[in-house]
Amino acid sequence: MNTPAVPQPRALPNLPRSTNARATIIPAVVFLAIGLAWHFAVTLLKVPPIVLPGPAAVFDAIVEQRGLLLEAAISTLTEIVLATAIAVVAGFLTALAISISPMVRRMVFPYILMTQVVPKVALAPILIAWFGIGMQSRLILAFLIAYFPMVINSLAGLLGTNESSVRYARSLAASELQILLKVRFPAALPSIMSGIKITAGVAVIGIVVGEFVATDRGLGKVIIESTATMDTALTIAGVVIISALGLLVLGALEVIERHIVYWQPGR
Amino acid sequence: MVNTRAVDRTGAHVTVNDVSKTYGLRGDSVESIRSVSFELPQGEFLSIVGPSGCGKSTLLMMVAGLLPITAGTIKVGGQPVAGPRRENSVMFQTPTLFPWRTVLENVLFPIEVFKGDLGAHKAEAIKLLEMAGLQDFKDRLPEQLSGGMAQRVSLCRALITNPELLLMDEPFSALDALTRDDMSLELQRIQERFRKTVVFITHSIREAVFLSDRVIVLSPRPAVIVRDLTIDLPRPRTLAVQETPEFNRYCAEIRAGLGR
Repeated sequence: MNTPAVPQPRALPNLPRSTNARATIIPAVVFLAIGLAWHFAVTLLKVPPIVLPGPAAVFDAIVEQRGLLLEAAISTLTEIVLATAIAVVAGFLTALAISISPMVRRMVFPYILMTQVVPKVALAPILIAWFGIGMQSRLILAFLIAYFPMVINSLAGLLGTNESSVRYARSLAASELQILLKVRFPAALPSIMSGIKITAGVAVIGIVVGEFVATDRGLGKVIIESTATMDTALTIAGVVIISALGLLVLGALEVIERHIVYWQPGR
Repeated sequence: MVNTRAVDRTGAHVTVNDVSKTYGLRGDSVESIRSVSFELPQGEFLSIVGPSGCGKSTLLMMVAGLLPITAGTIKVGGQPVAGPRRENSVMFQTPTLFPWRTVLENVLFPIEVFKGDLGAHKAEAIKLLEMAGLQDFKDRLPEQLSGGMAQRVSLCRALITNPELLLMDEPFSALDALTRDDMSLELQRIQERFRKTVVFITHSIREAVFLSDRVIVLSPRPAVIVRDLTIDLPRPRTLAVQETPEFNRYCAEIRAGLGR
């Protein structure tokens, strides 16, 4: 028996990578520096708070209005998650149908492409006329924005399977369903996960723009109303919290991705 | 477990009768293989050698039921080939392991496809991995394996179904020369033990002579059989056999068949 060359054992790729102290400290320092620059720019240049309040004023606004902001943030986050989930499921199923049947592809693809080229934000007023000022309109707007990237990414994954893997499965007389479930779907998972991340990112835009127009709830409403009352600190507080929500969603998806696509070490 | 020692009336396990293959449409077609015939008895190790692009892989894929035949018939175990059969195992030039499955899960993949008893085959899979010196790697992912190790896993996966017929399409051609020698020795050892009927495609003359009971040499496209040699060297063969005059006579004969 010839012994194979033993590669150095490595940490299992599905374990979270070790958090390097440097990797946390450097972004924190940059964050702090930006905050300080902002603070001194505003105070030294005597920028009126209506135009741009300093970071301390924004922080105060967040603390003072925490009840209002928390309620709005929960509403916005819920709608982001809902819109993402709907777009992910619908987008994946569409891609699946297209990947299986060239007929479906020819039938639906032009319309899917249209969801990409039509400026969805321009549809917002019509959506409100049709579906009213409420969650429904916002979800539909976010869905229209988020659906396309999910379809395209899932499709790239499902059609991009290594053909030699498929041929190997065929050599075992595997059924088309087995090939789909055991070969094409797992092979598509990395693309599907990227699709989900892009979809979640644009769903944030869809929901917030929806809240600007259908102003019954959410952080978009807070931003619109605080702008009207010239409470710029609260407006910026709203922006900061939306950004934090976006980071939270993407961070959560990053963690999920690391567990689902555990075999891709570079991710 | 399938091992019915299926043979047809003539006693051959694989019968290739007047097989031709043409690619493309009538106006713009490429004749890949022209009237190839041979019979392969149960348990024989056959290598098919030919210049690259001559259609030797095409021939193998037709035996595997993965490509349609243009003319002629191929029978395996007395039955005309109509598609892939579960009594065959095919090994490709690349290991085609699934990166999301551990080594053990990859070896068990055919059992999963056949809806076999995974629990019962697990011990068998581990035994095969031990034979290949890979028992310590059974829970690793393929990306942690070297090319030679991955192709060994692929061989274990081909053997887990206890196939009657092993179809190997240049399985070692992507490996370096030393690993290739190791793989040849290992394949010979496995063949001593299991006595499968093997069709082995290679463009290495020495590899073909070393491993085979018989070597068929194909011409450039359209491929016809130009030599059909029985390799009468004692087994088990060691790498040193490659230095003997007999070995080199066979190599010279094949080289002559290839026109060089």
